[in-house]
Amino acid sequence: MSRTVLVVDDAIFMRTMIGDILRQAGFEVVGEASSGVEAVQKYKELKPDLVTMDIVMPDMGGIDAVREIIKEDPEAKILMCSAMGQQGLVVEAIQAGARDFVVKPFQPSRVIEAVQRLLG
Amino acid sequence: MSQQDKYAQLFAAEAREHLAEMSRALIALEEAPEDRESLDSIFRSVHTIKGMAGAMGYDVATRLAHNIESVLDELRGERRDINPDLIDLLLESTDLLDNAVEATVAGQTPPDPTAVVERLVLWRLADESTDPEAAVSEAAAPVAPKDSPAPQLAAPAETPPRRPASSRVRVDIRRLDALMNLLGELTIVRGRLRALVNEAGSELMQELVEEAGSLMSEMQLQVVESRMVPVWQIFDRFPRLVRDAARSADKEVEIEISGKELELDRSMLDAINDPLVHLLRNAVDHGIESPDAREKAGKPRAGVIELSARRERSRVVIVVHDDGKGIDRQRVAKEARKRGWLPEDVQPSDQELLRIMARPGFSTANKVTNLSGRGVGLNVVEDTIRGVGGSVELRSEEGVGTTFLLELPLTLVIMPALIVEVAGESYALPATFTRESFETDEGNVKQAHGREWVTWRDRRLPLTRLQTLLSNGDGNGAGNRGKPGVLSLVALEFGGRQLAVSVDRFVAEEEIVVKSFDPPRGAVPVFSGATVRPDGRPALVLDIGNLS
Repeated sequence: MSRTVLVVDDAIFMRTMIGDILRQAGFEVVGEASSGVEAVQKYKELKPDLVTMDIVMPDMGGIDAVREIIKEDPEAKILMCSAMGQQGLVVEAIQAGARDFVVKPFQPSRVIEAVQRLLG
Repeated sequence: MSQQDKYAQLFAAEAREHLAEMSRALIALEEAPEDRESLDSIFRSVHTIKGMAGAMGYDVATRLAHNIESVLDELRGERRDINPDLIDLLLESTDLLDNAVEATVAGQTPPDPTAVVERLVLWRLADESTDPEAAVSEAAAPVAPKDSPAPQLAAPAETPPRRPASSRVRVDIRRLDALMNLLGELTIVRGRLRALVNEAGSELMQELVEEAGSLMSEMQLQVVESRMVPVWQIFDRFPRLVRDAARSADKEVEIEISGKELELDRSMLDAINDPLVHLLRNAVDHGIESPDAREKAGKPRAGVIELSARRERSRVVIVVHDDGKGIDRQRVAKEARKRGWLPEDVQPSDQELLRIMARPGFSTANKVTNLSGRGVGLNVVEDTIRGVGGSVELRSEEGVGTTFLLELPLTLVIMPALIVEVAGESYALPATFTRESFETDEGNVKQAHGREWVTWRDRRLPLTRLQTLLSNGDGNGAGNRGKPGVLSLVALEFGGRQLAVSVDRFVAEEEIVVKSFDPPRGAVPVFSGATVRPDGRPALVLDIGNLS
């Protein structure tokens, strides 16, 4: 059974691109969310094996969403997708419970590597 | 479509939305600098564009977006003043980013952002809390590795993914057009099928053909609806336009927008953009008075332009209202009399004012334009709005203000029309151009200036006989000619010109679904489209502008 992923980003463009990268590597994208609030709700609903999480989003940012999800499920595996220049925020996200991060623009190999490492 | 094209299209569509949002929010921010929400929204938009442009390997857009983002980041730290000069700089940067996005997506070389980037950096340097060296190096260095192409991805995975959570998709409008055209073709085929079945088919066959017909109508409606987009997609750009126009005219103008969630056909929305830009510019330049003049007249210094959209039955009404000085009726009337367009003793009504000002001869007269202030482009506005099946109405009160009402059909593909018959064939005349249908004796047709004329409501209209025009010159067709010696006529008006056409018979007033139409080679160039009547028979839509 392939591993399931929830893709969170406010841009359809990014969701499509991340989704394509993951699907190509054999993962199953079970859901997408475009805000932190939606991410938390979808996480409860879908219980995915992994979440890719954008940081800057309307309606609850990625870091708060990580806190909420970890509160719900301390074992949640969340991969932060950050942009250049967000090192401070990445550190905050890791402290909040995110497991790893990748930096946009993505190298597909780097994304897959990070995902595979997390799902062990 | 290649994967790369797919990403490029997604990028373009999403970036445009964010750019529109940035413009909107920047204006809101100028009005309320303490408004955290506007600032956050601009930041998020430019941040998203930066991320997407980076992923696409669009360096210029990425660099610009990054530098705009840095400025906004400082503002979010609440360390700096938000003043009109800064908003100007940010708007200009947003425009450049817009240009860069469009150029890159179109495969052209994007504009050089260096000058604007330098100004963004200088703004940051003007504050002591920014580390100058960091600011400079950040501006100069590309934020993404220069040569990183967007990820190259192979074909999608073989197993189809479970349906994603998002319930919206973006569709190229041409696909919907194609779908609409196919439905039109299908309707024609069904018409033929129905004729055959009615002749020889069983009752069950007849029922099935009818059922197929109603399913097709439903499908047509669904396609029409899926072409609808909210008017904010263009309305949100207008505060910016009004602000810039007001600034360059040294006026104080506020714009109030309502009804922007209302939905219109995408092509309709594209068509009305330019007319609205004209009307808003005119309102700022010529409607709203200078702050001093307003004060003298006992009005607040800042003028108000109201832009609203509302639905009225199957029509949409867009209103552009300003509380300025109104149109100088006497002066417009005087100029019209000088040209012989208006009898000496008649005071023009509001609608006649519009007729006069929308006449091409009026708008080209510079002196008049400066006096009345409303001539420029009004004929363009009227022609465009009528071209999409709409109408324009004017209300003006001196000293109080001017209102333009644009009444539009919800969609370009469905419009009201008068169906007439000529030589046994049906033709559709778009109802926005028809004034009245009437009958007159052949004896009332007069010859002058080498053509025929008829009288309608005390006016002489040039007469075009559709029987002659549409039969390629072989004279009378085989159709039902009605009463002998009596002409059935339709008075038409287009772009300020009036004319009459003769037909054999008035058939009905109907809402028609217009289908684009490639006229056969050598055909008379007077058709703008085709439609299928409820009985399945085709009718050509007459292009009124080409009839006279």
